Amino acid sequence: MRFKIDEGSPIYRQILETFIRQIACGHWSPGEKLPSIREVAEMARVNPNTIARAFQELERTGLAETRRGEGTFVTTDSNAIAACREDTAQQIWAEFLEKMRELGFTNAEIKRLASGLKEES
Amino acid sequence: MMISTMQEQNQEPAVQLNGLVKRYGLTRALDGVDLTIESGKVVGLLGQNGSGKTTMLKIIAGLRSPSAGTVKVFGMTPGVKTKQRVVFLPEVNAYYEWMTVDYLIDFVNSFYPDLSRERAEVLKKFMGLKGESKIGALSKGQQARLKLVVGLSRSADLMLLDEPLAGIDPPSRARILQALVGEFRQEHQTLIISTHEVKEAEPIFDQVVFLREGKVALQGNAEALRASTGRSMEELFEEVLE
Repeated sequence: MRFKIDEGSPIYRQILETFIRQIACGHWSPGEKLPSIREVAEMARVNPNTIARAFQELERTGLAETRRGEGTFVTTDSNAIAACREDTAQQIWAEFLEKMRELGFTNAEIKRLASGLKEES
Repeated sequence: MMISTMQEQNQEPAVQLNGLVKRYGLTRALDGVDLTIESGKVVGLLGQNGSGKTTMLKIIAGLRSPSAGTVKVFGMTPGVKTKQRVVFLPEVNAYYEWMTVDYLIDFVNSFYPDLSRERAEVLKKFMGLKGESKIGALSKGQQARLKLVVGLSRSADLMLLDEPLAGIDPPSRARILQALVGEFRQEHQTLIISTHEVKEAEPIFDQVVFLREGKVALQGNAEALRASTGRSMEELFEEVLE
């Protein structure tokens, strides 16, 4: 697991985002055990308190649950994961649109690009 | 009974400085420092050379006494009692060059019985050090790693690290930071790490204290400062201290 950290914004939020995206894309399966706070802290070289906060927030989203003495697990609720996937897609879409507008693209031009997308075989 | 005593201990700040002044002749190394460090935190003490970082650590360790003001470590004035709970790792290498790595660990263990041999073994491997190597033959980075092995093998409640990353190679820096994060026990430990190399170390800090000319120029929770300023601790370091 790799973490790319921008020290100019809260680190717990970036760790949280990383996990949300990884759960959305199926990197972690429903019900799978996540690494421990200490393992993530060591891998990312980030304060364990910061990682603990990211895990707490992850639990609040309903995407993971902590079982006392066992660790943190991805939810088995497929609706929650589907909703997270949708949210993440919306977010990436919004980021994409923002970048395209910065480039000076109009909605019509973006649509033209999108219409060029081939259907998957 | 036991439990309530332990809780009381934990609620006591690890370090409390009030109006701390340290004069060396005419210069004021510390010039009125007020600071509280809660137990269970990793604190970055950030400042240029000569800003008073080492002096502050030495006073907390009980190796220097203040010219004015008060110091409390776990509610006590630094002395014999606090020294059992505090480890100070100086920047300067204080080890004998003729000793081997294992001999040094034995040597330190002989006057600090709280040193865990098991932990020392694990850390030695993690840091890629060999027991039979002579200290004089180790590189600067390896010596810095060894210092961490010795310090982290003791289960001290307060660890004071003076410039543990200064002038050593990037792989050693990465290993040291990883070991610090991996070994830190927030249930009872507090780490104060002085550095002027902020970039690599800043993700491991809960709290940062910027020292300039013996005064606290800025201090706070690192994540809160990131959120409120949109800046990294490295950027703040440049703004506040230069």
